[in-house]
Amino acid sequence: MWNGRDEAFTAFMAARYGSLLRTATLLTGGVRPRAEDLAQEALLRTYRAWHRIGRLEAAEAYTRTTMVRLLVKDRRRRWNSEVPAEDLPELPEPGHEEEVATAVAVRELLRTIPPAQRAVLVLRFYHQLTEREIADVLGCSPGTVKSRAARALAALRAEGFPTTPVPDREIPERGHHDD
Amino acid sequence: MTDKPLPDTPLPEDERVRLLLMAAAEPEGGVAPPCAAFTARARRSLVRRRLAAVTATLAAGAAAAAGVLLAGGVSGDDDPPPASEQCLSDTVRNIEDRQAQGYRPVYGTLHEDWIPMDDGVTKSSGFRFDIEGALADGQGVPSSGSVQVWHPVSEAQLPEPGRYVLLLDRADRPDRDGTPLFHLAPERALPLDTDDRVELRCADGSTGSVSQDRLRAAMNGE
Repeated sequence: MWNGRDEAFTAFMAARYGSLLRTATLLTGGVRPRAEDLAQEALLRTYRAWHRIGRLEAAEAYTRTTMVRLLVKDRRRRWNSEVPAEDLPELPEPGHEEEVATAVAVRELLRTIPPAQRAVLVLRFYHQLTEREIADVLGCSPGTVKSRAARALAALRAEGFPTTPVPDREIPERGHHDD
Repeated sequence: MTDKPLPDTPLPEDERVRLLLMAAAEPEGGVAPPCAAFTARARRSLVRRRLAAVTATLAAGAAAAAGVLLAGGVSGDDDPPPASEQCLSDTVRNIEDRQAQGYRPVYGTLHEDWIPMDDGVTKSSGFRFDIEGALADGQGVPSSGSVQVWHPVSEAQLPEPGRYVLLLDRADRPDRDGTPLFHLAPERALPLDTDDRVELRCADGSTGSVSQDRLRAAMNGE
């Protein structure tokens, strides 16, 4: 009974854990143990629902949605607690690549914005979901998604990241950023 | 912040933010996927949950049987719901949250369709839902007839074919051929059995059922 499920699930993790951990890294602001906690809790729930999922692509979307909901709705869990100084990633030293400095700075910023705004930022701009799709994931209205995205972008601009306002738009196809 | 490395050519904001997030998404250190031991842990966790659910169901059944015996076989309610009042009130509150966003609770039959849909902006697919009735008033969603509903974002969120209480919201745009299209609140799909009992998912992870009439009454504050 379990063999087929176990093999498929293990193969799914081998194939997609890197992608899931990247999403978890953004959702948790880059603190590695928290990202792994979040990804693995979501994977446990994905295993429970495996009989309803079936395809690898659907499993990844399911796990991603679960991570977002855990982040936003389960505030007591470890991935939402304050970050002790010893858990913070190393600050870039002189000579580090600029990309590393940018990555560190963005992660620091992500940790300062509320989880719901962080989730919208990740789903909207990293995974390129539409406002309606994000609203369905978060169980809120598209208007709420829009306002959270605006606040998150304002936070990016306030920290000096080069973004420029553009008119609202809808993504023409329902394809999602996969990795 | 200083000197964020971005391409020289001006990019749309979406793309600039995406590049920033891609840079930040790379976890430090290598990525080692969980192995078969993690799968075994997940399996044990699932087995424990199932055992707990069976135990809870047996306990609820025993309690219900005891209640019937104590009442001399007459419960005072035509169809006493095994779902707790707390579970019912939580469900009603969840439905009301969606109603506030424009969704209407309707019941009927979900078909395993893959209907191509195109509203001029989005090309995707949906399924057919034959509405038999509504649990509450609402604008834009009919209380009977067949409607086309966009598939949810994740296939895993698509309920299997069968009878359900669904929360539907009329989409802003119809299909190109003028057919009205609807959105589904996937997390609020409640299975409906042939006796018109609605299966509720309670906050503690268990499930319980109430009659459709009881759910409607609760939504009306009765």
